[in-house]
Amino acid sequence: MQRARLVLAFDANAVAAARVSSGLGAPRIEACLQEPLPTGALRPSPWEPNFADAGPVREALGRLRQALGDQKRGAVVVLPTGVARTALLEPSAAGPREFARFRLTQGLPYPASEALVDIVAVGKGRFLGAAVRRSIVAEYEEAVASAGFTQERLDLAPLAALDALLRRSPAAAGVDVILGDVGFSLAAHRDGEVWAFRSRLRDEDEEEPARIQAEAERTAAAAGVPSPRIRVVGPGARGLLNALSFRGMTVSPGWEGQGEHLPVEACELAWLGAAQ
Amino acid sequence: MTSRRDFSTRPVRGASFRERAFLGLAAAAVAVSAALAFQAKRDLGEAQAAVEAARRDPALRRAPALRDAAGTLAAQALATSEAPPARILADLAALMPGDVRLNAATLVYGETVLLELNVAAREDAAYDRFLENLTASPRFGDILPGAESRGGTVTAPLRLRYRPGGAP
Repeated sequence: MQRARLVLAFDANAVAAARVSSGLGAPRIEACLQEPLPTGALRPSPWEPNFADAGPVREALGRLRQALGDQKRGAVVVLPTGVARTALLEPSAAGPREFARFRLTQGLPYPASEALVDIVAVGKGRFLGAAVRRSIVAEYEEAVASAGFTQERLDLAPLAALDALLRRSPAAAGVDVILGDVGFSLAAHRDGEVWAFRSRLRDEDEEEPARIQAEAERTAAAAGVPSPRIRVVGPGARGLLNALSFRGMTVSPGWEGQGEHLPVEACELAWLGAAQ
Repeated sequence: MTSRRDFSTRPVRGASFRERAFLGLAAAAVAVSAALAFQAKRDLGEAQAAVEAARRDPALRRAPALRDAAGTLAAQALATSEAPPARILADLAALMPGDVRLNAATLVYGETVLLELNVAAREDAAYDRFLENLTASPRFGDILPGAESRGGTVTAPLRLRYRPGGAP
């Protein structure tokens, strides 16, 4: 029995949508489209409004909806890297969501009541929590609704990608690099648990692979992972994989093609994690 | 395990697998109760028809033994109509603490309704509480607990009578 769902993903350079079927086997991409955005129209940020110019974003969403022709199906909306504050948590007695809210809302530059908090399990008793500002989520939700999509739930690209990567090889030791257009996240894991999680802004120049390599090695050292094996997903993943491989690192794409309909390599789409 | 993440400003919470399972079980229980009630009603109709036929039979009037049998049948029919299995089980369930469950139940319809139960309780105290509830209830009487196996979970047979006329 096959069940299809829509995944709708935002990032600074493009909005993308995919129809993914999930049944007894691995999820399969039935259709996937990407609409580029003009520079500066969407600026992922955890504090400031993200839609600098909402018009082109809404137009791109409208084109995606028309092209997919699947108007009634609920969509999983995926927000880009750079919109949330994250923290690795080890809750003791309290429920993990309550604990995440307690920890993450301390020191936010906006009222705690404005924070939307959720978690992803990253090992035995460990969770990665994230807090997003309500007004920022509302911007994306309004754009999605105005284009005629029905929102089923809303996820964050780094959390969705990390969740999917951990499910793929839960016990392998290494560092996962999850790229976004404006930032990237690093998660070091061993023995089926994430021991370190960091987020950094991107600065795409020829030195970027060296900087990411250094960050990956520091993250691995902090987690007690020797000679990290690096998996990469997200925009620019293929270029980074080539550069890191050239520099002698052991690297692999986080995931590879799951269908015949991808506009780019599967590893370039971190948000595909939300479809799994 | 946690449910799927959702950072929506107005999350639409779908039923979890556990909630759907409970809903399914509840629906199945309702269906079983309805089937039992239907069966009881049909048995009552057949019993009443048999009683009427027996009353009209002149040979039966002359035979005291057969007359007694007809009387028993009539009482049985009455008990079935006043105490259908679904009602008895519902009355029983109302007296059961949360950590007591029925492993088996046999209902014998005669002049009264005899219940033979096999009960399992998670703790001694829960089983004792169930017995207290039964004793206090006007709808159950002649309670005869069987040999109990205690030590962690308690399992015990239990025999008792149902009094349909008892106040709730």
